[in-house]
Amino acid sequence: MSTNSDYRQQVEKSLTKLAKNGGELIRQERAKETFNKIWSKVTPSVLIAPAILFVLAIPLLWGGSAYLPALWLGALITLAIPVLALALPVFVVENRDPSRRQALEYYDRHQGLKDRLRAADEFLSAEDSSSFGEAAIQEALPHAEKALEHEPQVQNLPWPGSIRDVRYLVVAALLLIIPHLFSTSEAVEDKKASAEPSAEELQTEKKGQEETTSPSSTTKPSTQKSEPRREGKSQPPSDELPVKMEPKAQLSGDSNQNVLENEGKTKGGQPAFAPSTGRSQKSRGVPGTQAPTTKPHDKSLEPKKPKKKKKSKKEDDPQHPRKKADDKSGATAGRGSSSGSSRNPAASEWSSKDRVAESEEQEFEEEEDVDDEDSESEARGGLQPNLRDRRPPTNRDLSIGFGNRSNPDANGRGGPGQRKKSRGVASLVLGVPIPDHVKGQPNPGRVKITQERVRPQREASEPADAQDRPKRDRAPELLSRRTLLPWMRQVLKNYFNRDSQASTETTNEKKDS
Amino acid sequence: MPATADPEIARQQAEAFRTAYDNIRNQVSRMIVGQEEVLEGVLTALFAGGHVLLEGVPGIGKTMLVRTLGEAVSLDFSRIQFTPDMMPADIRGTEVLMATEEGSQEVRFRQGPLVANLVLADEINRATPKTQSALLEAMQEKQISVGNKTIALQEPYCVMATQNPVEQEGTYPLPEAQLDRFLFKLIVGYPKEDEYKTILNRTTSGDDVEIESVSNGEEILKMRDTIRNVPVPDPVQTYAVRLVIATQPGSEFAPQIVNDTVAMGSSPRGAQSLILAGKVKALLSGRFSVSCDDIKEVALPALRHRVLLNFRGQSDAVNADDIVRSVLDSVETPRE
Repeated sequence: MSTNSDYRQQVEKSLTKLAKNGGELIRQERAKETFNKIWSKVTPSVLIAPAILFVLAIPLLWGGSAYLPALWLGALITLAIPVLALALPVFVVENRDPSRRQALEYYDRHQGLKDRLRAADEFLSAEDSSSFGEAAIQEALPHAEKALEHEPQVQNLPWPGSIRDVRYLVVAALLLIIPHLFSTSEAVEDKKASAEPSAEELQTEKKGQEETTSPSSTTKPSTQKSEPRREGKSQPPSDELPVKMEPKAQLSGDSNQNVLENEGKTKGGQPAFAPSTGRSQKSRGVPGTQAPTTKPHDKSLEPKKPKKKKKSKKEDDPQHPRKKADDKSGATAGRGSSSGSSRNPAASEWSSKDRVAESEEQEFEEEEDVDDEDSESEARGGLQPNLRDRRPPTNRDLSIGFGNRSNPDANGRGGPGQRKKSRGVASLVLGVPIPDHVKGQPNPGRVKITQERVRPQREASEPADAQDRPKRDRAPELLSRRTLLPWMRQVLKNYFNRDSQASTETTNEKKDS
Repeated sequence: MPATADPEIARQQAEAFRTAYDNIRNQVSRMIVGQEEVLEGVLTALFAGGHVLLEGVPGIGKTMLVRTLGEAVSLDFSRIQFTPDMMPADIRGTEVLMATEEGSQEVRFRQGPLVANLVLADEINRATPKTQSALLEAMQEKQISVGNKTIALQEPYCVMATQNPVEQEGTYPLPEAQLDRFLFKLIVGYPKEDEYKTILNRTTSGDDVEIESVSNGEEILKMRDTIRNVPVPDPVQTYAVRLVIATQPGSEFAPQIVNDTVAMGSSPRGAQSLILAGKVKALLSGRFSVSCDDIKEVALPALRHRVLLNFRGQSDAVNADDIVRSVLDSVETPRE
C-alpha cells in the first residue's frame, strides 16, 4: 500500500505542476487568439477618426487654421477607442484562469497522450478506485514527468493582420499627418508674410502709379481683387506675383486664339468659327469625295421619302409577286372556288403567316389600297360593294390529312401542320351528316361529307405461324437501375419537397379551421 | 486517502486480453487475407458482447470469416441461409410429435439453428420481416420464446449477419429496430492487389489451412468481464453522448447536414456501443481508460447503421458515413 500512495503522490505533484504551467500556456494562447480575432475587426475602424479629421481640415486650412491643432489632438485621442477595444478583451481573457482539467487536457492534446493525464487526475480524486483506475494513474506518471520535461510551446500563431490591415494603418497615418503638415507649412508662410510687410506696401504703391499712367489696364486689378485669397494660398506672397500672373493670362488667351486659328486651317480652309459648329457642318466643309460617304450613315439628316417611292420599291421586290401568287393558290386549292382576299386570315394559312411577318408596314400599305379601291369604284360609275367585307366560304373539308391535294404547308420548314378538321368517326366513316355551324351565322350551315368511295381490297400476306417461346436459359439478371442526372434528381426533389410542403400546409389549415 | 485497488491485477487482465485477442486474430488471419479492419471489428464485437452486420458484395469472404472465427474460438457454430420462404419456426425451432422409448408419443421441442453460440445469418435481408423479427428477441434478450416455452441462449452469444448491398430486388431491408441491435456495421471491401495473390495461392493449391481452436466460450466471457472493468473518464462519456445526440436532427449538437438530411438519429444503444467498443480499443492500445480518440475510432462502424436518411438525404445521395464524419468534425472533445 505504501508504494501505492507513493506513486499517487508523485502523480498528483506532477499533475499540479503541469496544471499550473498548462494554465499559463492556455492564457497566453487564448490572449493571442483573441487578439487575432479582434485585430481584423478593429483595423478598419482606425480610419474613421483620421478621415473625419481630414474632411474637417480642408475648410479649416482654407479659412484659417486656428482650430486645426485642437482637431488633430482630438483625432489622436479618438484613436484610443480601437486600441482599447483591442486591449480590453485580451486583458480579460488573459486574466481568466483555466481549470485544472483544462490545463491537463492542453498537455494531453499537445503531446498526444490520449487523455491519460486528465483521466489520471479524475481517478485520483475518485472515492472508489478500481484496479484499472489505479493502473491508469500509475501509467500516467511517466507521461506526466515527460510532459514536465518537454514544455509545449505556445501555438505559433501568425502575426495578426494581413497587408490590407497594414494598409488601413498607413492610410490612417497619412490622413493624420497631411493636415498637420499643411498647418505647419502655413504657419511658416504666415510668419514669413508678417516678417516682410514693406514689400507689399511697395507693391501697392507701384500699382497705384501704374493705374494713373495707363487707363487701359483698369480692368485687371478688379479681376485680381475677386480672387485675392486663392492667390495668397497657392502662391507664396511675393512682390513679383502680380507681374508674373499677367503674362500668363495673356499667354493663355493667345494660345486659345492660336488653337482656333489652327483648327480653322486644318479643315480645308474653313473659317475660324468652324470648330464650334456641329459635326455635319464640318463634313460639309470637307471637299468633294467625303460628303457622299458620310450621308448614308447620318439617318437623322436623311430626308423623308415620299410614299409613292416606297410602293414602287415594293413592286420592284422580286419576292412580292410570288407571294401574291402563293396567296391566290392557297385560297383556291381545296377551299372552294372563291378567290378570297389574301388579307383575310381565314382564306389561307399562307396569307395569315405573311400577315404576321409583314406587320405594320403592310397595314399602312392597306390603307393606301383602300383609297385606291374607292377611287376605282368611283371610276366604275357608282358605289360598289366593299370587297374587303367579303368572307371566304367556311372550310368544311372533313377529310383526314389533305385528301388528294398536297400539303399546302409542306414548305420544307417543318413545324406543326394545320389543325385537322374532323367531326368524329361517325361522320367520316358512316357518312352521317352533322350540321356544321358557321361562325357568325345563326343557323347550321351547309354540310359537306367526304367519304372514300373505294372498294376494300384484300391484302395478300402469308399467315404467321405460331411458334413456341423458348425457355429462358438463365436467371433474370438484376435490372440496371438508371442513375438520374443531377438536374433530374433536382426536379424530383423539388417536386416532392413542394408536395410535402403543400400537404403539411393543408393539414395545418385544416387544423386551424 | 481512499482505499486503493491493486493496479497489478488490471495489468494482468489487460495482458491476458491482448494475448487472447492476438491468438484468435492470428488464427483467423491464416485463412482470411487482408480485411484487417473488418477482422478487428468482428473481434471487438465478439469481446464487447455485441452482434455484427457485415455488408459487402458476394465473394469477398464474409461467410468464410465468420466460419473461421467459429473454428478458432471453438464455439457452437450454426449457419442460417436466409431465404424469402423461411419462417420463424425454421430458425427458432418448433415442437414436434416424437415417439418415446416406451412406445408412446410426446411433443418435444426441436431447437432451430438460432440456438448456438455463434450464429451466421447469411444474407439476412433475403428473409421476410416476420423471420427477421424472430432474431430480435434472441439478439437483445439472449433468449427465444416458442409457444409457452422460453429458452435461454448460452453465452457467449453472437449473431454475425451478412447482407449484399447490390442485389436489392427480392430483399427486405432490415427494420430500424433490427439494425439498432447490431453493435457494428462493417463494410467489407475488395482485397488489394497483393492480397489477391495470397488468396489465389491459398485457395487454388492443394494445401488446406487448418484452423486451430485457440480460445473458448469461457475465456471470451472472462474477457468480456475485463472489458467492462475498464473505466471511462467523465469527459469521454460526455463526448460519446454528444456524438450520439449530434446524429439526431434538431438537437443541440447536430450539424447542418444532420438537420437537413437525417430523419432519425442514433438511440442510446449507439452510445452503449461507442463506450463498449472504446473500451476494447483502449485495452488493445495498452491503456487502462478510454480516451476520446478511442470513441472517434469506433464511431463510424457503431453509428453508420443507426442514421436514417430522409427524402432529401436520399435524393442528394448522402451517405450515412458522410453524416457520421461530419458529426465527428463538428462535435469537439470536451475541454473541461
